[in-house]
Amino acid sequence: AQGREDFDKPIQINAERESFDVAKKVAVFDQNVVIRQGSLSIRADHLEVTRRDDQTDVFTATGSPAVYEQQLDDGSPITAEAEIISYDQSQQLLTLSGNVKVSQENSVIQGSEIIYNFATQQLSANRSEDDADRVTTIFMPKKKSDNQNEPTNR
Amino acid sequence: CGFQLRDDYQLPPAMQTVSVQAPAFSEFQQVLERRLNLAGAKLDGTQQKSLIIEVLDDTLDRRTLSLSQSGQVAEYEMIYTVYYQLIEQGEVSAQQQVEVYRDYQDDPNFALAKTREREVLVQEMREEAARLLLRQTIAYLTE
Amino acid sequence: QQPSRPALSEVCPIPAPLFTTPISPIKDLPIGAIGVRADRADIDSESEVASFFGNVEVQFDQQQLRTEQAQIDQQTGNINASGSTLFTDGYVQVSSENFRLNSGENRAFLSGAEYQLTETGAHGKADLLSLSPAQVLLEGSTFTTCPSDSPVWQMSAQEISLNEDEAWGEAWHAKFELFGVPVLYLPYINFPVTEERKSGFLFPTFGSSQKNGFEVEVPYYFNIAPNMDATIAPRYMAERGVQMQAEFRTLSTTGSGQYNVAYLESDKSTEDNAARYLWRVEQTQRWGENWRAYVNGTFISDDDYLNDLGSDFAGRADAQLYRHAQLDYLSEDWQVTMRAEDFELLGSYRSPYRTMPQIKSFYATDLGLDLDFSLFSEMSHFQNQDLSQDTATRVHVEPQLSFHLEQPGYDWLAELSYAYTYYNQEFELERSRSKNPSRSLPTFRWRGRVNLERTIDIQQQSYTHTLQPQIQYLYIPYRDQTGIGIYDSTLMQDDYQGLFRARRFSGLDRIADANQVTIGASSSLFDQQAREVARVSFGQIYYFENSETQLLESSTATTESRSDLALETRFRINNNMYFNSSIQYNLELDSTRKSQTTLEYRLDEFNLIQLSHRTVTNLLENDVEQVGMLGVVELSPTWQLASNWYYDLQNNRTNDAFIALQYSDCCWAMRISGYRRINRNLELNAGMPAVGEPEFDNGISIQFIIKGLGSDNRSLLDMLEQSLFGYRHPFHLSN
Repeated sequence: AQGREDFDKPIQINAERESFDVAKKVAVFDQNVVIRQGSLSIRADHLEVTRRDDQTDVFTATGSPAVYEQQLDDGSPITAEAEIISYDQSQQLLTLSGNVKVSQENSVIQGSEIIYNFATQQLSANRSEDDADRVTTIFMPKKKSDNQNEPTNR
Repeated sequence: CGFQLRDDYQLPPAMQTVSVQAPAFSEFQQVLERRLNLAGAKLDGTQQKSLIIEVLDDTLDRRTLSLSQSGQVAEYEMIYTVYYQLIEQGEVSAQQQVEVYRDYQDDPNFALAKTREREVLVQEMREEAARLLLRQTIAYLTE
Repeated sequence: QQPSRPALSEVCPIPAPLFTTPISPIKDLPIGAIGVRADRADIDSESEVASFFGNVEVQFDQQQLRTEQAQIDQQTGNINASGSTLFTDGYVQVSSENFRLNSGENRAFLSGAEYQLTETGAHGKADLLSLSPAQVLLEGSTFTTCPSDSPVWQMSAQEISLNEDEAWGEAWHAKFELFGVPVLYLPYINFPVTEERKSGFLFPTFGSSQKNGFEVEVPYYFNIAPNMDATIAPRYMAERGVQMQAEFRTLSTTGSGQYNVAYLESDKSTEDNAARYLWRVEQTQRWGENWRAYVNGTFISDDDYLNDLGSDFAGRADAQLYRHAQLDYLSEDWQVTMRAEDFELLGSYRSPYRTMPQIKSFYATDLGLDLDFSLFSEMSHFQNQDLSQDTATRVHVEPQLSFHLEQPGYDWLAELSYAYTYYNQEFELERSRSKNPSRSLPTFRWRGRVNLERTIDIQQQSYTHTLQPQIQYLYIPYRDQTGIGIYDSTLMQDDYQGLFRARRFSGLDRIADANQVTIGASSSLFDQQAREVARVSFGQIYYFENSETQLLESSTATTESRSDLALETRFRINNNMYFNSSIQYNLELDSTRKSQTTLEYRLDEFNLIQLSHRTVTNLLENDVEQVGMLGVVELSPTWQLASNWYYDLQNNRTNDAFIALQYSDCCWAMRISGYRRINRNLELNAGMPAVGEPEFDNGISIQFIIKGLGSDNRSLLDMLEQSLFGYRHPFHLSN
């Protein structure tokens, strides 16, 4: 599936300031936070990593906006921007919220909240109740643009 | 009684040099150019400031005026119409029109001779239309 | 100051678009991309299928879709939408149960659809509607241009195809319903969806008349190529049978052609079930700057064809059809024409002469100092239509020198010409024609005119009043021309213009001797826009010797002097009243030769009434006096009354009477008219023009016309134009 191998790679996080709250088991990173894991990278202003009982982590990065980039299997990049990007390792759910924009090679999705499930490869965008405009998706169908010149075979 | 020789007929300055544009093979163009020549206008299309009289179309319509005893047409009315517009330094006027009416008797016993007479009438109507067009253009330019 | 007539839009509103609130465009949507707005979007990046739910709006190029939920395959661009969907591509708007776009074929499919053409409002239902860039295909569908939901007429068909850039629709297995009742079944039909490309009603027309009985005409239009089209219009007449009418038109940058044929195999209303046909050719063609060819000819099966079946190309009462083919060479000062002319005379008249061919050339050059030289020459070969051995060849040469000085105040014209004509007449027995007569004679004409002008005020309006006295001397010596046959000469009508012509006979077979002075004056009144409001002209000829040349008998010799007074005037009495009159008075005979007076009250193009009176004395040995009335009244935006009536005071009979009531709605019109006109059955009485009272044809005609939207042809005036006296038949201007 897309970008699966990245998740076996070690995670590197560097930032200008780090601190650790032992009681709540939360690590906090501030200013120019960069998380890297294989081809995946997240840049944010503030990152909190909480370790849960089942020893899996939940990353919550905030930025204006926080930027998520990854290399897909076919080498095409995927980037996403949002005010809050959080990744739940155990459920393998990436949740972006706050004028989110996800752009892939031939498509762009904008909305107030987008959830990407790495396991099922499902991305779903929702319009929050209070938010006025709906989710906007723009994409350029490859097939359509490819066969502009090829004779269409019936 | 107030009549004097028409001497203020000098063409308005805009008409000193004139050029006539018309559809291909237009007999009316030659009649109009002769009339303009006689009226003293210089026919020259190269001048930038010369007035262009563009003849758009000329049509000859025929209408029944009266019936003979047998119920067939005794007289026709011929209506010769010229549609034209004036172009001064690129500025195109609204479409203008000149109409000349002549009635003409039909005599099937002299079909070919009556056709020749009709040709004479049409030529006279063209000359009349050219005179009217010149007079209308002068009035339009000196308005 | 005219009362504001309700605009067509109030009477025939274009139905509201199905798209009540247009979709606001998605910002910076690249060309070819698909933009979607929805409450929720789920994208499976594995299969790259995106599904959208809630207030879904899809936009690609100019197409817009609004639906409840849609699946879009990001790979192929295929779209599937269900729930009540609304779709438009600018040309057609469709509301349907679902929508499927096959992006590869670029074709969309909607089922259970209601559609409406944005521009004209034509609308209907379709079980399945399929759309490609410029074509809409409807299966199991209906089509109507009536705005209301219960349309007066509607077409339901197995398949309808509407073509955007064709402005035409086609339908297969079409059923026509009037007021909900199926009236006509057609395996195939095409019909205009907008007004361009071809004028006239190209929807089926139904009607009935006394002579033809029930009548239906269904035109089929074939757009063969951008510069070529054809129309086939079968016309079923209960009393006569089915007449096939076909028209083919072609247009190129250097010429155009129109070919027509109307063929009725056997006319049931005639005893011998004769075939009735009309065929017509008209083609112009140009080569380069100087060469042009023109052919124009109308041919009919019998003399009564026009009277019985009518035609767009000749009036019902025409007495002859002129046919000619011509080749012209035109350059700056030299024109050569070669032509052949032929006539079809309706009724039995003197057999006409054909020119087979005639070559004429005219050369003119300016010698400067107001001197012009011109050389007119002509070679004609005449052939009598009925007696083919009666032929003659004529050669004519006429050089002319003319001096024409024109100044604003006066103009002076002097012409000297010498005409030489030689004949070779084969048929010299008849009336003492000689085999090779020839004739040569000079013509001298001198004319002086003075132009006087002044401005005067009438009712605070300033007019230019012109006075143009003129004098002309004409000298042509007498030549004995009795040995020459009469081919294209006849005495020209004697009106004011004739007084100043150099020739009294048309053509060249007779050149009348003349030694005469004509004096005359013409005075006109011009308004500010140089429109001639009134003109009085007077002319008198003094003959120093009587002109001896005659045509056939002696009647054309002249008396001592001849003078005519011509009066013409047309002016506006007030805002809506117009008066127009012209009189020609012969002082010798002290009689009015010709008079025409018209009084018109015109409110606007839809409300006018015109009264006219015309008299002519001694026109082909009998007098003419006819009065006429023509009127159109708009009773309401949808009801109109029109009538014309021409009464012949000389023969005490109605020449033509017609009254019509029209109800006209946005998409259909109904005309009920009564007519009384002379029924010229020339074949019946062996073609001799009926001496006694001609037969009359009275009838009632009902016409039901289906029309497209937007065409404001509610005026009955064009219908009056079609009536006998209103008919304006365009003439070719090649001569």
